[in-house]
Amino acid sequence: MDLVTGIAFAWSLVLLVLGGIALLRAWDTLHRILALDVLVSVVVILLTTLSYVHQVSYYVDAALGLALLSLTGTFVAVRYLGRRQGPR
Amino acid sequence: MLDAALDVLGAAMLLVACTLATIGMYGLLRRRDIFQQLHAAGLVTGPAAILVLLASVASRDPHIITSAFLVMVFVFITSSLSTHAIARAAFIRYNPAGIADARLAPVRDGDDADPEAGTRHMRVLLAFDGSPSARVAVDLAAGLAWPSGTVLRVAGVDLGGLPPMTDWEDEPRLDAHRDTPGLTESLGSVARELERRHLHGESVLLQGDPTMAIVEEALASRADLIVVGSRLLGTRSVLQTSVAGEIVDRAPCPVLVARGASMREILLATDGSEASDAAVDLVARWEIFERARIRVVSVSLDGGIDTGGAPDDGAAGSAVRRLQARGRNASAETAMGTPASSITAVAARSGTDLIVIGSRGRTGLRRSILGSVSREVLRSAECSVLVITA
Repeated sequence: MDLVTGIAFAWSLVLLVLGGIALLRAWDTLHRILALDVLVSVVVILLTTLSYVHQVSYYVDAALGLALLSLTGTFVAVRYLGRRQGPR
Repeated sequence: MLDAALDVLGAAMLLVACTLATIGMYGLLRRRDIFQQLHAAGLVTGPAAILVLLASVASRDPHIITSAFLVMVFVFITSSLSTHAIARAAFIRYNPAGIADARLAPVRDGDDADPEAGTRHMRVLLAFDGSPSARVAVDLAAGLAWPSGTVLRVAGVDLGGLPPMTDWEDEPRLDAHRDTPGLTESLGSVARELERRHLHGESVLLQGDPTMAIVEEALASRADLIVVGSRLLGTRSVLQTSVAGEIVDRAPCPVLVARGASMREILLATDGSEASDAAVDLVARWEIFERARIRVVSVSLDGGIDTGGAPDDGAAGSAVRRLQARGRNASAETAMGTPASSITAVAARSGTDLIVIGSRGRTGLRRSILGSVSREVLRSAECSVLVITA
């Protein structure tokens, strides 16, 4: 199990880098919001696997806080975009 | 025994989660269309995250399991909510109703020319897929007197297994254009052809759904006009999906559906509505209409389809005065009957090269109930049609 957790953690780091690339490659505000949303999910995965590695629950609590902030941020940004009309 | 089972279960869930997250990330990086990206991203934000949190059972730590289950419930609810919010914003952004205010803006931010002078250069997006109808669109675009500095951006879509851009599968296509290198070469060749005709041509290869790719490119390049080829005639267009029609529905700017290489005789349909006003304004401003003979036609609504405008016999006269004030060669005419059939009948009788018509941007259920004159004209006209959505 430890080996698999380690692999999952390392792979999450790789996904984090790929998420960063997706964020940098986004050519439009909506694409950036989506990339950030995915990036937060990857960080949630990363923190959860980290808590498995260290056998402590704090990281999962941090993941909960991050997910909450991400949801709020996504809603605010998307609402702002939806209200604005026209190409950006 | 139970410990071993939990370990295997936890490890399996972590591995499946990593696989799903990788597939989702690959989709996010590879696709350009926001809706296709949302589909891929859903794998990461939903199943992958939930599986990793479910794997907490293998830790056997009650604190970790409790926290993880709380996060899991939260993610289960919120991932779908945030995906829906983004999809909704994308729909508004790429839907005519959401970008109505952006249409026909005389000058957008950053443009330095005088809107009143009507001489600013334009950004034209020319959809090209190598088909004969796309060639017609190229010939039409190449033959117009664009303002100096106008950029004609030739855009092709790498199909990647998706339906072709042309309206019918049986339209002759060059096999070379089915693969990306062939299409890239064709786009470059069209751009060079435009350069030879003293126009500023450039090419771009897009990916994804043809309609969305063209519409997104028009948004990204802030195009003033989309030129697309089509052969929408007869009942076949009712039965089969028309990419040109879909582009007209979703485009952030006017769309010229080309069916001929000339634009000397123009029929401008008006009913005094806001959409018609926008069409008149555009014909008065754009230099490409300077040398054209413009026949402004208003249709009596007796027994006809509601075009959204007030029945106004003076609509054509008023439009003619506005056009003549800008130096256009315009005359007025009134036709009787249902708007779409009257417009196409007058166009056919008078040898019209181009019908210019405003659209209220009705789609879906509203169009099914209320009808759309512009869509009907687009479907039944034999000449080119320029649709301006207000």
